[in-house]
Amino acid sequence: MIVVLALLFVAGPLALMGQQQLRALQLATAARQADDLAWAALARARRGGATRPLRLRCPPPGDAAWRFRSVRIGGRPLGEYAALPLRAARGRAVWCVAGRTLGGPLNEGQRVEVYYRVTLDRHGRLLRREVLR
Amino acid sequence: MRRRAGFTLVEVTVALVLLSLAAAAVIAALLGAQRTAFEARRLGVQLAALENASEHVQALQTLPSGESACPGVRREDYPELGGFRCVVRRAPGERVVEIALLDEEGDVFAATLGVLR
Repeated sequence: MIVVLALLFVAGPLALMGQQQLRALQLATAARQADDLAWAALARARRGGATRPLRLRCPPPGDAAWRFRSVRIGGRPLGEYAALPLRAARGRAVWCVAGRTLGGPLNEGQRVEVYYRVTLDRHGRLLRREVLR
Repeated sequence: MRRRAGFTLVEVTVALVLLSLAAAAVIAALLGAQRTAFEARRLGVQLAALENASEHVQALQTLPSGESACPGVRREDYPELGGFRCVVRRAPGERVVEIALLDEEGDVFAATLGVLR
């Protein structure tokens, strides 16, 4: 009887610990995907864009001005990304980029969103990256 | 008052039922813990495979044409994922590829995007 009770006290916390570890890994996967989505958005947006951008500052996270596009891989949704150019000094390019997962099966059911303001030099090298919140 | 000798049949039955219920609860909790541990292990290996593929893709000089195997990801290194295949394909964007892990049926079970340097 005592052994069974003792085991009950061991098994409960053990199960809880395992679940927390699993959730941490799920979040890590989704966070990685959100980050990759943001950089892919930047790489995609940089090729076009001959017009001079008018925007002076990034819209707040979650704003409708971000105009997200969705990304699917193998027919399954991976998430959404967005990139907006900002008006910048000569020889610099400033972008607002964002990536977010939608909590689908590829994201292990976790929703994560990231928003960055990145500054590039004329060769496209990264000079500065700020997290927007 | 008469002294009781031993336990009655009802007491023994109740004790046995309670004991078996507790044992069942312990076994259920342990099985749950084992399942989550297995899942967590698999998820960790999956994330490692995606990150390795992403690192190697960054170092690629040319974009793959069509679909090709991930550079630097060998199936033997990730036995937890079973008979998976890792492929890279071009995605919209100048130097963007999609990295996908496919199972035996060819369904994507894990994916992310990679950008070439």
